[in-house]
Amino acid sequence: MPQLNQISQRERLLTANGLSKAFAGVHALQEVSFDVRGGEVHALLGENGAGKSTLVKVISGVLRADGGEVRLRDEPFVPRDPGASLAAGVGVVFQELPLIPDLTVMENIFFNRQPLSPLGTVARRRMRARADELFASIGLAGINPTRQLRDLSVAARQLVAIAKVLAADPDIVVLDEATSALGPSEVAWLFERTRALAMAGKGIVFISHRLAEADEISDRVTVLRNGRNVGTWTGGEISPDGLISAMLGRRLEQLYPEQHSTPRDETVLAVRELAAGRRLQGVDFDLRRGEILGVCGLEGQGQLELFLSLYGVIRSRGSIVVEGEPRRLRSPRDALRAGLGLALVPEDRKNEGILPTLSVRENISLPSLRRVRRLGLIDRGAERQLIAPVIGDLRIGREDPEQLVGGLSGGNQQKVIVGKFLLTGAKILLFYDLTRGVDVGTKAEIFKMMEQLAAEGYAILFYSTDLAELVNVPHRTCVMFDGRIVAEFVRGPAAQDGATQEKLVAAMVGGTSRADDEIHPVASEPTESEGKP
Amino acid sequence: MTANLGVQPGAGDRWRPPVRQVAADIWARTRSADVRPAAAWVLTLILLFIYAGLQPGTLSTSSLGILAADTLALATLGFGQGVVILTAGIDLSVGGVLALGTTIAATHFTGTATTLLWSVVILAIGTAAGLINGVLVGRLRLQPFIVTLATWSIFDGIALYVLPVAGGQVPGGFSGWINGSAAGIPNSIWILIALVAVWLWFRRMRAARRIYAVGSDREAARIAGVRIVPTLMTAYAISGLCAGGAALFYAMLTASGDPTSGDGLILPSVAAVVIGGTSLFGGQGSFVGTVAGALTLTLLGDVIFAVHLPSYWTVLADGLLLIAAVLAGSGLQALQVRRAGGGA
Amino acid sequence: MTTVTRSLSRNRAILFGYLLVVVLAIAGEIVSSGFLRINHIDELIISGGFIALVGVGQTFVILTGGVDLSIPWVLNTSAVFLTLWAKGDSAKMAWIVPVLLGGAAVIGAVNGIGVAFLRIPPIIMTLGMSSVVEGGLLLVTNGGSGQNAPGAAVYLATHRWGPVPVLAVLWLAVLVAATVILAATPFGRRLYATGLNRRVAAFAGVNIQLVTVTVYVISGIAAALAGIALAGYVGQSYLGMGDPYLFASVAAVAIGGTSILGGSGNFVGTTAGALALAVLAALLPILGLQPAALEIVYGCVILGAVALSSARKGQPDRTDLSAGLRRRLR
Repeated sequence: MPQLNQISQRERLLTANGLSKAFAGVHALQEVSFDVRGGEVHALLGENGAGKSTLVKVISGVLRADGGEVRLRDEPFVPRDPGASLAAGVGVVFQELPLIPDLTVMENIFFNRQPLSPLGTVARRRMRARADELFASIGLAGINPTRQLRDLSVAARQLVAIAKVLAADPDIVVLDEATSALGPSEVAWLFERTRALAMAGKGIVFISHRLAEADEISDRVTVLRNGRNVGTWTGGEISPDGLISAMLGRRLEQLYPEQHSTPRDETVLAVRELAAGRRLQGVDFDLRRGEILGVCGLEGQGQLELFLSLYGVIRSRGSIVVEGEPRRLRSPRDALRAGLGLALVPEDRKNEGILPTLSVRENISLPSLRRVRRLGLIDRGAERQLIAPVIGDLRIGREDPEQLVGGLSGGNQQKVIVGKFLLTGAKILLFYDLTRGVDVGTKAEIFKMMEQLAAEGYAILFYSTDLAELVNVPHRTCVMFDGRIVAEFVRGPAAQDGATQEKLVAAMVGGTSRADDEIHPVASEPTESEGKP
Repeated sequence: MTANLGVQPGAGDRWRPPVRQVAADIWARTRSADVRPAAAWVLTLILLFIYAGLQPGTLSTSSLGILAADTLALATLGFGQGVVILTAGIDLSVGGVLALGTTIAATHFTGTATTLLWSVVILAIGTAAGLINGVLVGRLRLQPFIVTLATWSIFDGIALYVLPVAGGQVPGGFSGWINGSAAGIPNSIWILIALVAVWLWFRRMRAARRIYAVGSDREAARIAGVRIVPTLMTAYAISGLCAGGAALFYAMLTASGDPTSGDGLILPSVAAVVIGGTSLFGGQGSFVGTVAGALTLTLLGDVIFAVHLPSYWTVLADGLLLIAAVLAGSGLQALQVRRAGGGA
Repeated sequence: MTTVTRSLSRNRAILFGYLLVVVLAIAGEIVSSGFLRINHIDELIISGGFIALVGVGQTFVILTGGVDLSIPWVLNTSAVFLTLWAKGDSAKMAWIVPVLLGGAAVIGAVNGIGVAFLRIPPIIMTLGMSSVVEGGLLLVTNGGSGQNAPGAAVYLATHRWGPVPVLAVLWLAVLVAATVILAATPFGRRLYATGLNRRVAAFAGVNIQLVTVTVYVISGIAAALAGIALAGYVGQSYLGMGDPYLFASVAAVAIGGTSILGGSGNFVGTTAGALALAVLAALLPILGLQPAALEIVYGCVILGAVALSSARKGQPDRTDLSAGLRRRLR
């Protein structure tokens, strides 16, 4: 870890001074100052809405700041769009992966900068050659540049997005949640590249919700909160707890709630040989009343299909037994009737299971309209009576049923989703990736709610990509690989099959060789294989 | 350091014996969207042979020339409509632009000079109409169908002003040109070839890649640096220009003007594009397929005529064919997705 | 913002629509006195009522984020078959009308099935069906002109109870029924949800396929009703009588403030739009403009209304269940 004075002596590549940006009265950035120096990896942390993405968008030209300025090596820097920004030497790998699905990998990498032939058309052969060169130089093998982007996995796409920025050899690289879809060995490759770039004198900005990652890779850390820069520290100057309290502005007693409840003995959901599509090959498990069962796995191992099958969204084979009764779940309506509820958060976090322009009352009552119907019309009084206890129990917002859901905080919005299902009498809740990209404060609220629900006897199936959560929150966690459950752990590292992040990772990448198409991050020196049998 | 990361298998990434490698390459190629224009051409050829069976002499150069002439307006419309559909939009106003074009032609084409002058004007009007559409769709972010529905109405109205009832006249030299030939090949076929050539060149330009990008994923394109509004304006301007050109071809063919001529060509223009394999959701497609689609529709009409069915069957058949083509297209796509292992 | 302020901003659009009607009517009176005499007002209400009726169907469809381009030909087909089968005999209407409505419902169901189950974009599906219906009608009638309408239909369409036309009462009843359905029934709530966000609605247990099919069925029936009434009003049927109603129905919906993207809007606004268009249509000949001007006006009105409403509010995020999940499962 380089010393503070070493860093401060380095050249300031990019400086932001007093940046301000507001949207419709919300101050996304308030006089934020920030700088990136040559040869450092500078982590940028903060809750959702703290302003990290806004800052990145202002720097790269997607947005224009209301006040303040950005300077690139002492020259004012106002790029018209990310393309211009990249050309000037500031490359950003956005969270949303601005890649075009219908174009090939190489077309994406060289988009709008494609080599041209004398006729003014794109020169494909030259482009292919350059793509191959690029992959070789950054140590990525296994991606065919002529593949259509839509045929690649999300992890591969993220790698392509990174490659695209690296191709332009920028002086500054901003990685905004660049590891969200990557598996452990790909993350390791990225870290290696990052260190190599830093050693070559580039400045790296690393944004992530995974505090552990950010901590590992960075030389300096800046925390944003409510649109302000609340501090910059070098690594080692501040503890993870300190970071969290800087991010939250207060001490967070515990991210993970006290575990009071134990699951009851009664099995509320029994699944045998459940298979769907190509990715879910056959899983067996039991879920008990009051139990939180965690699911983990790399992208595309069948976990999404598992959840969608249980909720009747996709067709499945195998048996599902709910509270002793076998069920055919062919639609969400069937699932609701059987007592299941699904809160699914998509990758882009758009449409998060709520209708923001409608009120809390209208959102929560939507699946249960039958219960407030009289003579064909909706009885508003009965409706209000029906949802009042739910709003109260979950403590949703101001506890005003007419409040528009769009105005609620993220945590409250999640509660609305859950409340919707509680009202239908759901006993089994399916939470898919609820905490993806969610800030620490909201996460704490969600975990507290989950613990409360478990204590009340609800059974919860909980999929997350955050290993720390899976180790701490569920009573049990099972690992999926290749469409099957390959390992199961219980909470508490002390037990023999107690869950630890290392064991989870090993199980996630373990399994036999279905290695038809592997991404081979080429290490500069030989390293051990990742626990493959 | 290697690890199985759950990435889908892909051809070309592992060693196979040469024969199987070639087969795998071909298989990988067919997995992509290239297969749909080819399927459209197969359909065209089937219809052609059916028609040839019913009407001897169909396969002669002059008959093929007539077929090409009959298809010219639709194919030209399809070029522009295809470009717009690539952006995940749709252009209903081509009907109005075409109507306006034919009515202007029928009233203002008096001699060679006026014909040339007003031809340019017609093309300019079409382009301007497209630019307006593009601005409304791009800048105001209005839905394409509602914008072009409105401009369709506007241009239809203007056409009604220019020529309230079908009629008028175009000079014989103008309308006769389409029946002529050069170097033994009918002019109409030359034009089709020229259109295809223009397409093959255009689609490799950066501007075209940007159009594909906007249709494939608009937000990603924006962040990747594509200026959305100019790109959309370009696409709709091309469509308007093509509608103007189609009006000229139509006037050549019918030697008169008709303010309602455009309404019946909108559906076929979309149908030609869809039959040709272009995806309505944007990002995929090629004019090579659209030409086949246009020929298919023309041949369908010819076959119906040849079996002595009333021409109203064409209207019905076109509607059914459009729906069938969309179904086939999405079905094929679902099949491809499944075959590719669902991507991931 | 709460529900109260939300209905206020919605009402602003409706108020604007009605204001437009009043302004145009006054303008008409200024240009040509006698424009606002009772008889003429009745005529305006009736012709506005036709537009409003097809507008109701179109509103239902647009609320789900779709559009129905087949309305003109469903209207025309009902009118033609009414006159063709009745041959002037009013008694036959007892079975003809249900059959026509049933047939229109079937056409609507086909549209709805194509959109909901086969995932064909609504423009394409209804455009295609429009052609199919048109072709079918042309084949049956061989392009010939229509017949005279049966007496009962004429009576219904032209009779008045004092100053109030019977048709106006019918239109009012339809409007009230539609408004109640939308605002106060579970179906209406589910309809809004479907238009706002299909995936959320589906996961909340809403049968979005059923909702989608239903709205197209409603639109078909409304078009058929309009065709029957129109045949009565005009006294006969002829080819092309449905043509003006495509642009008119969309324009009425747009003026009324219904969002083209779906999820927000109502019929009170559509009716205002319909009345405004009717007054406009009556105004143009008085101003010496040809019928061609009406088409130009329709186009400009649609553009203006849609541009205004999109400028007023940010565009809601409307995602498609299939596309979104397909992308995920890919």
